[in-house]
Amino acid sequence: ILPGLFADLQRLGQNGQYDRAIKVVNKILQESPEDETAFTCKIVCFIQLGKFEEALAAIRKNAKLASCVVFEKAYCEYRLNRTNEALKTLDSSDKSDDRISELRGQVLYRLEKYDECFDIYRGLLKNTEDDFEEERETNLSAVMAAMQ
Amino acid sequence: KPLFFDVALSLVEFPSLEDKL
Ligand SMILES: [K+]
Repeated sequence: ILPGLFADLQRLGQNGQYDRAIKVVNKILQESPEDETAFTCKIVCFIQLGKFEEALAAIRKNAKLASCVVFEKAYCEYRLNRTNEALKTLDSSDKSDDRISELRGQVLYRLEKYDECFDIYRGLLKNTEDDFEEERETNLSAVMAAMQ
Repeated sequence: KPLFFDVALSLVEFPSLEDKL
């Protein structure tokens, strides 16, 4: 039953049908409450639907799985303008992947910590290779303008 | 206000489900 549900979940995610995806992911979590992958998908669905409070509530209710959604949790806090909380959440992460750095750059920009922010964007531009290089260059320009 | 992109939103995506299928 689970592989079929995960296949549905994948299809709905690819199609951006996040409302329906949440229904499927809830079925998966009924069968397998500690599934980190499914839980992460659920939080991603909430974020894509703009339901940041709901995402945070789901994370609070499931402390066991909270460590697998640190980036997502911090992103919700950032969108809710709880910027200092977002920074604390990012600092609590034991791994420093590029997504964590990306969000840390945005958080530091909002907190007007431009020197640290500048260093992060320099690092990201050096280390990442994806579709968002131009956006990062733009962000770096904004940081440099703010540093003047 | 200078342009500043929310790139992090673009990085919010499902983890790989390959080994669940
Ligand atoms: K690069």
